[in-house]
Amino acid sequence: MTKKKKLVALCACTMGLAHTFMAAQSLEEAAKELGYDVKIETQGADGIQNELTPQDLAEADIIIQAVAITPENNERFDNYDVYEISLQDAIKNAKGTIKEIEEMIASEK
Amino acid sequence: MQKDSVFKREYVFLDVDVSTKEECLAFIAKKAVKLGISTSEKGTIDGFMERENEGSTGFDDGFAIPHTRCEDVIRPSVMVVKTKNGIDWPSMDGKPIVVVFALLVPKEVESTVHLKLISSLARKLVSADFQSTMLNSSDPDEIFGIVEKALNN
Repeated sequence: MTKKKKLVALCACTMGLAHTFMAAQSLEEAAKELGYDVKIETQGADGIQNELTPQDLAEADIIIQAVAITPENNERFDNYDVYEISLQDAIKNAKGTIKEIEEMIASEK
Repeated sequence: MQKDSVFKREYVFLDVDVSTKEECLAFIAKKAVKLGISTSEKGTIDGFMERENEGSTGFDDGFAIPHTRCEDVIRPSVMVVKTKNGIDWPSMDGKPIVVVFALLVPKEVESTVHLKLISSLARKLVSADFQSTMLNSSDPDEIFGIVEKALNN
């Protein structure tokens, strides 16, 4: 049996009330639909939730940041390829955006 | 209903006759003061507009989520407005805004309990089922029920 692909993401908007969570939800649903194991960290007004661990990052096939601010603990991502997308793309076109990232990764191989 | 609930039946307003974003936010601010959510109409409007000026909170399919964290707000609250006619309010798909979820949060919050409720609602906003019920329903009790459920999801 092949191991499921894993997608992790971090979402954070300026005020941390609405767009952070809308983006997180859209990405989560789209990634599941595309067959990924998924974990999404949110940095919102309620603090850091569902924090991505070093292991999460090491295991991930795709790492996404949908942020409008510089996230906390951003140095975790230093040694990884991070795909930066807008919160708007995450909310409005999560599935299309993940597919574009898949194509980019495929073309680099 | 708990006294400190973020959302109550009287926070739902249907058939609201406003035609611009400014009118809509003024309506919300006025009601917020009346309901004891905020202490200042002007402060609340300014709070919303500060966020709108960073980028419109209109998104897809007729929904907008103006929000503010300002010192005039004294109780974290969610208010729901359905407009009589769509409002010209910049959105991601250019459609007029019909359903407005206003999120009002004090500058200083003692606990994250209310913020968690609001984040659950924000997650629900991207659900197609939730959106279509909100758009199609003109029954205030039904709207109250599904928003209440989304908050406590």
